[in-house]
Amino acid sequence: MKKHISIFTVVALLFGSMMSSCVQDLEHDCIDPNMITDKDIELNQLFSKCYSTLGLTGQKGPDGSGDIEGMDEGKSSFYRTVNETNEYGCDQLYWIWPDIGVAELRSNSWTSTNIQCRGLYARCYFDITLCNLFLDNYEKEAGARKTAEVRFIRALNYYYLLDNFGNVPFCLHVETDDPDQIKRADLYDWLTKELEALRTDLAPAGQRESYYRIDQAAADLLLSRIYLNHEIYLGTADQAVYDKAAKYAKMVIDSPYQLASKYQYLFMGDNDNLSAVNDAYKEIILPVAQDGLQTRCWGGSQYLIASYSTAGMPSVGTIDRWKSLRAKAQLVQLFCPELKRPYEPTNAAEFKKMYGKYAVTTSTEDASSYDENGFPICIKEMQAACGDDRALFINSIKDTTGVLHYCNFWKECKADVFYSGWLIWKFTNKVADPKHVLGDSKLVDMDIPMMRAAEAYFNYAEAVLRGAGEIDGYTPVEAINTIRRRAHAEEISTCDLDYILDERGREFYGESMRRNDLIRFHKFTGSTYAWEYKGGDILGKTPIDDYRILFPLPLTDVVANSKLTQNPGY
Amino acid sequence: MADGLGSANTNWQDEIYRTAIATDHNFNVMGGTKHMPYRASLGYTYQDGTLRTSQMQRATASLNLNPSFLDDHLTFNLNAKGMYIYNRYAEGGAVGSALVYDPTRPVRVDPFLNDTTENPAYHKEYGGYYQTPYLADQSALMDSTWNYVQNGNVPQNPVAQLMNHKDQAHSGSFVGNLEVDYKIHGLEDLRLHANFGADYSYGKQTTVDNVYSYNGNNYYGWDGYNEQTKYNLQFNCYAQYYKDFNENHHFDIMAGYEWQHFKNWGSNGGNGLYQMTNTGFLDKDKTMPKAGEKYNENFYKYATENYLVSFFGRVNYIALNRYMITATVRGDGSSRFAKGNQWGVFPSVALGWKIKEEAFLKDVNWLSDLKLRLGYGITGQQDLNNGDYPGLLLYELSREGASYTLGEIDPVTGQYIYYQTARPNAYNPDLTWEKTTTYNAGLDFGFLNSRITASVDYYYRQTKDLISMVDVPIGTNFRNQVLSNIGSLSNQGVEVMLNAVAIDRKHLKWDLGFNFTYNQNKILHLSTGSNNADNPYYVTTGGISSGTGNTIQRHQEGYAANTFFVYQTYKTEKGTYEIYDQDKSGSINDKDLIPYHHAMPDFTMGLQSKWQFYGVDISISLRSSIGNYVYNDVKAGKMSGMATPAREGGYTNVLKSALPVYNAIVDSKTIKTDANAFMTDLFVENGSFLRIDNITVGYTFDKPKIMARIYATVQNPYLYSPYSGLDPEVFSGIDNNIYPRSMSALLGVSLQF
Repeated sequence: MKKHISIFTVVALLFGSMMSSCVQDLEHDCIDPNMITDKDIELNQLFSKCYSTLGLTGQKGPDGSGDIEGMDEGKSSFYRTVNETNEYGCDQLYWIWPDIGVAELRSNSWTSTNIQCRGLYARCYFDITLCNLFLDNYEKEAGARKTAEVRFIRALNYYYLLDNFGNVPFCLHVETDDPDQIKRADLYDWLTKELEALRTDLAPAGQRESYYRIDQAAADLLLSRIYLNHEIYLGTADQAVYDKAAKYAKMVIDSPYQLASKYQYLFMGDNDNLSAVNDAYKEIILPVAQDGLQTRCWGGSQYLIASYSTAGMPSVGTIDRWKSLRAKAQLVQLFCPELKRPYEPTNAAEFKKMYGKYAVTTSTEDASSYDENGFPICIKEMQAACGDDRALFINSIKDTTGVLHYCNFWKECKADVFYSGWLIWKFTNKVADPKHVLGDSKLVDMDIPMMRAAEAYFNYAEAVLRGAGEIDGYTPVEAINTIRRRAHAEEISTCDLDYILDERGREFYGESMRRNDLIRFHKFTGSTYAWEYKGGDILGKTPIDDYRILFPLPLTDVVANSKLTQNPGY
Repeated sequence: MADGLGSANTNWQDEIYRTAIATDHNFNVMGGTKHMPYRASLGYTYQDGTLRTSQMQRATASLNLNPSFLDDHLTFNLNAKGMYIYNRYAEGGAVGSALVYDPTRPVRVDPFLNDTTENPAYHKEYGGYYQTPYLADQSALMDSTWNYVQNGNVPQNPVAQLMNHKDQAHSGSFVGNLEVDYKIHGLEDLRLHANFGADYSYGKQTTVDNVYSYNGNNYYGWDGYNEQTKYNLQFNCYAQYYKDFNENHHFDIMAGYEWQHFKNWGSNGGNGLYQMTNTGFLDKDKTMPKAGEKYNENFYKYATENYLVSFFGRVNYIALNRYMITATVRGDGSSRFAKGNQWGVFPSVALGWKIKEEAFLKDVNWLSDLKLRLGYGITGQQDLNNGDYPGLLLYELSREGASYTLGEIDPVTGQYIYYQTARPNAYNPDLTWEKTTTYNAGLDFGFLNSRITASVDYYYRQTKDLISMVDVPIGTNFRNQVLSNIGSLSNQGVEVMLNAVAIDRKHLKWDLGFNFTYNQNKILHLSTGSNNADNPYYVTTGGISSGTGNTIQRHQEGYAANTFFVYQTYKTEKGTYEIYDQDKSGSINDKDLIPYHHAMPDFTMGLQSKWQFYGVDISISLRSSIGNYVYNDVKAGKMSGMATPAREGGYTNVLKSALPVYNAIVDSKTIKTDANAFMTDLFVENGSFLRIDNITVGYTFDKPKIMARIYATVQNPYLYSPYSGLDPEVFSGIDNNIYPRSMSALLGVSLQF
């Protein structure tokens, strides 16, 4: 009996000690080799993450560990969310597939659950919170310049929030309390002061620390853009602010940044600063790195290039073809003003008759359709017909069986029908420097030219036309002619505001500027200007309500944060 | 003949399916001494799948030892089981392709036959199989010998899909368990029990696509692997004390402890290869050709673990053999939560009253049993499906393809230097157990000496602190959605069971069983903040195949989970459908989406019946579901392609039942076949059904020395449903099934000596 009691005691003691040590197991560290804690983090891992939010969607390329939850990872990229929200509801581009949210953007009937709006908002705040973390904890270690660059990235995100949503949650630190809402005018005020303040710590224009980092020219160009739009943000125009817009634009014009020698160079696979031929780097003030091997995502330049690409088109330097984006009639009309109504050519004779000198016949990808520099001959013909290097259109295409199809114009674009709508050959993964080695046959190398010096010429010209004083006698006409000369377009002798809007359309189509431009020129809402599918009908006869100059705050955040008030109208 | 059709006549079903063979061998030994009984078994199974290329082989070995000592006061139970499995998985996409693939196309293109209808030029790129040709962008591919690539928008040749893909898995596992039970000498009412368990498995899967694959791996091929090791260790022990004070008072009490550790780690990776004809280079100076080099190589390594620790106790008391009470309580600790939130306490109480035993019912003969049950309990849930560390702030390092350069140049290579980045991941230190409280009341009946038994139960279950991904106020965490304890939902319902022996004669017996369930599910609360009726918060769910990222269901407060939200349509005089503009905004947008039925059934019923007549037995079981709605994703997905059946050079079969719908919407003003048709109520259908699950007919021989039984079973012979698709019984209500649930028949003989 005694023996048995002692067995019992031993067993009980053994179990007792086991229990207490095993309860300790509940506190254990993460054993995943892909994760580190803030004890082990290096400054550049976080600093480069702040920059990479502009060009990547997550921690695995091209997808697999996204930054944003609740949406397709490819669509959550900074550039793509900006591009979709700022182009699809305007007069230039048409996305033909029935992707979620696209039809609402196209017909200007978006609501507070629109996925693209939500994506843009979520992306901006992901970036802002990341920058806040960096600024809260690493400011000292990073030093003044890196700190100023991260502040710029945060300011750039706030700029898109200011422009697209207006009255938004405002947070400059990582906090668990729900952020307060800031009024659009107050955000404008904070943002301009912030940019003016941080610019002094940035490298002087043209002297950036290394190619993908920014310098004062980026802050100056963004300031000129914001000042130019101040009437929209504040409700009233102020002469003195246009002077500031002109001043900052002129500072960029006078900086070491210059226009690239060829318009097409800006949107090619070797538009970085390693190319011996392509000099796009001279113009690109904020390049967002993309690389077919190292920096891959579906929402950066991959989106820009593959979206426009269709089999039978001249090569765009990637085998990835999404067959998605087409030109709306109003974009084509900027270059081909004779085309005034819908056309649907079905044979060669009709094609010639309807499109006249713009009836350019392409051939598919055999070598004979390229010139000695690898440039498609059909594109050269279109440029010649339009008298403008920026007319990068294709309006006929061969299918794989060799049958030629003629693209329609101002007709309903149908998913699946690859010849509905004119095609655009602007963004490519082709190279100007034959020595450039493309990283991949599918994922592209083209950097996103997020901000480029050409915009400064437009901002300057427009600010002067809106009342700013000319600086050093530099005229709007001269500024615009600088741009037109590069495009080998005829020089102009006079220039008014309407001309600026059209010229901006010719220069920047597809570059996420259009919504902002149309709103600033008061042509977005109301019925003064009709475009294909405006308000939902193909002739664009349905006016857009004024409240739609702002997007709604996403419903998800309005519900989660009780301090927020939805924008009027939604 | 229409343009673009071929001249072959191929039955793609016949090409991908085969009659499969399976063998199964088992060997068992039992024996041992009185104090050491043992049982050992070996098994081997070989099975070919009906889809060509699929195959499975399995070998198992198991051992069971049951020694006992000290007058049976100390007993051991040792179980060990080892298993090895080889699997060759067929490419499942072939099933769908076979249904839509153009029957006028041949399986292979004969390179020697100069057949002008099937372009022999591209047999090389597609390995001799017929595929819809798609011109390669050779300047991007850097290979002028490779003329055609794949087109993701057209279906693949199903046979090529099977043959160009080789997916094999080897896995081994071991499960071991040791139970020790000890009754204290001299205090036999007290029992100690301990259990040690270990479960270990290792698996490696290799996936090879050859260069002719008509998928993303065309040209480069793919050679990949996935390797995982995992184990689960478990230890528990408890002490139990029984006491019958006298025949009217039974009492037992139990207290115990449990510890579990789950760990898994592994890696995956793979690469393609640049073909030898590739003319690209890796470097600027063109000294290193790409030909023969690895393409798109990636590698990933991971490890994760979690622990569960529990203390539990139970008290049972039965008085006068008719009043019963059971009370339990457990404290569970999970390592998945942050310190301070790891423990949850979960009590339960159950009361029983055998009313039949009361004096006033004792003599009522027709009532053989009557019992009332009442219960209350809380259970906890910590299975997050979202990793083991949601409470920690961790920085995730970037992997291949997600590096970023700041533009610094490596002086040696002249190329940019790329940084590995680190991203703070969202974390929630407040996260804790999800809790479900259940109240239930039930009555058990027995009539006519228990020839008829029945039970009725009512339950109400409310889940609180629901763990789910929700949108949090922006700026307060490192991601827009964070795993949180959010919201609550309720389920209430009634369950009825009825069993009867309808006929009970010597040579004729009829057993009948029936069950009925009514359940109502409702989301009570879902968001972190306020909600307003005009713009209610919801979580989208129910992904559909049309477009990219579209969903058809929502979880929304006040509605059942997985409620469909669709455009309501009406039929015009012309016979076309139009969408109701609910908010009268003049255009159709997502404010016009309205709730329309839900995926969960309101009622389910089951009926089992068995007749025995001399040696013959017949049994049948039926099942029915009422009030479940189904989104016919297959039909909806056909709308956009109908206008262009010869999409990009390849004809595809269309669904017959989709045609009338398509014809009724093709001229609609508000419905666009390629833009919003798939969001209309036209594709949400009543999925109620009555199904015969199986019918078995058998005959049993029962002689003293030999017993034999011969039988035939048909599984799933009959389905009645108003649903227009193949099968309305789909999980969560989205039907993208293109393959009918199979009906199978089995003949069997069993002998016992």
